[in-house]
Amino acid sequence: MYRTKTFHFLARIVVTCLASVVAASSYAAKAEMPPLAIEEIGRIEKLPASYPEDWVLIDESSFFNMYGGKVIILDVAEKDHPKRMKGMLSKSMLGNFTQSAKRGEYYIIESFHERGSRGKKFDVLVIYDKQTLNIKKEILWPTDRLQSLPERYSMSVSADERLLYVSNFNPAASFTVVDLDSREIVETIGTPGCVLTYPMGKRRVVSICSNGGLLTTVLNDDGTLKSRHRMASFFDTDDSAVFEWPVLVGGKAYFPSFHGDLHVIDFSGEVAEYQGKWSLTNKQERAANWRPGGLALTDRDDAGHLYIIMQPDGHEGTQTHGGSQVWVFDLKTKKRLRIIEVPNWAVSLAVTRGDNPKLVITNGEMNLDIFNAKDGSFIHTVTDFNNITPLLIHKSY
Amino acid sequence: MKILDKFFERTARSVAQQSSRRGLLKNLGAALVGGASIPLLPVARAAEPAPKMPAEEGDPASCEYWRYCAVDGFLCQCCGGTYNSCPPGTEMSTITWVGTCRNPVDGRSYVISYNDCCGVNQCGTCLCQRDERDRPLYRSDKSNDINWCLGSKSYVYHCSTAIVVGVAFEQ
Repeated sequence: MYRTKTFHFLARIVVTCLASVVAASSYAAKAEMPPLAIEEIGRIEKLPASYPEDWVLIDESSFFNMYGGKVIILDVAEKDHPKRMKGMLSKSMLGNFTQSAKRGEYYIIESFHERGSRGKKFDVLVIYDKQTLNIKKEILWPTDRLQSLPERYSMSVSADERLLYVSNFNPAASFTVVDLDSREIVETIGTPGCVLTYPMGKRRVVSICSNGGLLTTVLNDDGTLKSRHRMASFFDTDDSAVFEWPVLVGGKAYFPSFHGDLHVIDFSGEVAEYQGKWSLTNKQERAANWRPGGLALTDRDDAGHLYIIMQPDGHEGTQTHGGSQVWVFDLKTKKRLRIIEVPNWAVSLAVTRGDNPKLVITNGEMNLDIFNAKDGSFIHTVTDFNNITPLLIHKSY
Repeated sequence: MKILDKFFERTARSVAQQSSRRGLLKNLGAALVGGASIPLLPVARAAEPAPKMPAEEGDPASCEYWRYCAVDGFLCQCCGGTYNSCPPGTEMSTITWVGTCRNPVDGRSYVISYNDCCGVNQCGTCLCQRDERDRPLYRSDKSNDINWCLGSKSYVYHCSTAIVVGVAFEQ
């Protein structure tokens, strides 16, 4: 045994010496070449003004470490893992996120205590440049912003992108209007019993209410309050509740209910107006308890088609648990266009923009499954992007 | 569902706690819930002979425990607290959401207040999501999506309790 070990040790020395000789001769040959150029210290990358269609913005609420929330900019079509992540924004304590399509800005409202988990709480609105991801302005918040699991409409911008609406909740509900030209707060407007900020045209904000109705807040051109209008209840919040995740298409808002109805609200007039409902399911599907289910369970593509997560055997308590299929509907004809099977379960979804959209699914293991949204074919699973609870995904612009 | 169960560390539960008490609190709003209701409990009877109380069955560290029918969060039972008390060093929120859960032992439905414990970083274990009669945040009195530490000195969420605050009456 000892002789064998000695032999191996000597053999290693011989091999190492030979390798050094070869390397030295190789280095000598390359010494004829010029050395590497001296590099600049301090270079920082910049993102394009218009993001490619397959990029998405992931609202990572980081439920297990809420100080570590973030928005992750990701190319979900990229096959090469190191090239997928394009950038990241910090988002503390279940911060809320939205963006403007034309101003090139991102908006995050987040919270901090002055000494970590204790001391005075500060809510701060942060306005980012989408190319540099640098902060343009921070606005200390005058009230308590909504702090919850991510909502697509916790914040929104007006159709002309001049005003930003930010939901507050303490537990009195209101929203604060920010003038995006001056980057100053205009005012905070109470929405008693009603939450969230669905944008309606240039100067209207719709909120959903505890009585099953809607509140339309009409603003003056400068963002100050002009009037409020309540729409009568259109659902029972106990027995026929709706998800607070409508899709907005062609001047209408489509709210799915827990049981599979789709309520249509006209957003093109003076105030929100109810236009009836239709069912996403047929008689057989209702008998099998096919129902919508999930967190961010709806989105639309550029053609205006609805994508919604559906679950079989749905019952009270499963409405947020996700589903095994995504159903795609033409909202004009009320016809289902296709069913996309999602083998790894779906908790949330988003659809990228453009003529060849991707369906992005947050699956049951909190990874992303990417599908061709047009034909439903599976492309790949995206993992290892600092994902903990990526519960809401936004299109990029 | 198995994949989702794996993430939420939840055992599938088909018993939907069908108690038909939906709407009990619809008109009462958030004012009824949480710490504001705790003084209503019969603490003044402590000096009297203890009446025989109905038993409770089940493991309070399990997501299947009967009180957790509308919970969504980390169970304080696994975090140094119990199903009705907060871990040391935390603060119990004074406002919260409520559920109506059926105690399988006595067959009664009880109003359960899911007061959050706050002020320390997330407990991070025994995550449980049940959501029976949970509603979106437009029904804030029944919504577990809101960070209810908003009623505390610190907004930092740690874990959730499940406290009996009353018997749910038949509608």
